[in-house]
Amino acid sequence: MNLDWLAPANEDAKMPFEVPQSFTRKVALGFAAYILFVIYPAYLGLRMLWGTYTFEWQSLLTAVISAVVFGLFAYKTMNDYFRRRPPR
Amino acid sequence: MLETFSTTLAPYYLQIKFVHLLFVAMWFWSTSVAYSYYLVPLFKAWQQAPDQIDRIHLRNWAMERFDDGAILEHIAFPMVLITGTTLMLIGGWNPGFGWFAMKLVLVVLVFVPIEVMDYYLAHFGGNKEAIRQSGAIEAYEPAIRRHWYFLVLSTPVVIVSITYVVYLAITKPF
Repeated sequence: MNLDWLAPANEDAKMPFEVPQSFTRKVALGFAAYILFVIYPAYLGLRMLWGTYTFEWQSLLTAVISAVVFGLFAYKTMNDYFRRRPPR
Repeated sequence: MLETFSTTLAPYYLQIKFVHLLFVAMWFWSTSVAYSYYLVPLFKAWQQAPDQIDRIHLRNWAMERFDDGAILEHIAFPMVLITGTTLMLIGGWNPGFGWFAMKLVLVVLVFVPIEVMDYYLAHFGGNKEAIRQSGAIEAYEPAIRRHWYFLVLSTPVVIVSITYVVYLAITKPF
């Protein structure tokens, strides 16, 4: 097979690509924290600014559950993509 | 001036909404087949055996093509923002509506930062073909790996947030 027309295969591409699970765990935690401490407060802030905000436990609970479930989903997805697996 | 703009375009609300939805669909789905069925399998194959030259070649080829493949997505995104802002102005939507406030927050705090990074990686400093042609070959592999990191980290965010925003816009649940 003539590979000349393809993009180059450098020597440094042969270095193993390994992403530790501790990294994906930290990223997933960061995502969950971003939902709880950035996205949700920004949403509440906007509602307050427009005078349509009323505190509801249900809203806070939804934010917490969303952050946890999304964190778990992100952790699983990232690990799946970074995992070494033979092509189908 | 904004009022004149809104009044002039108000009769065309549904037509603008149609254009908005068309570009949202293009933005959301245009790279999905290339990503899921070309890029991901080739990167997984390379991760499995990084020393195999044919896998590196194919990985690099797929990533360079993917940079170009993102053009449709990156034409669609500004169109989504323009038509979305127009709909907001002529439809009278504001963050007083809960669903709209959440949508706005996700656009500004999730989509825009991701797209800024994506534009850079695919078309500007991170474009792999441009790096290769510039002769800065030592920058090629780091650029490939950086882009792969970005794609994997943004995958769960994109899947969930775009789906959620489309749900919010259609059902207006709160």
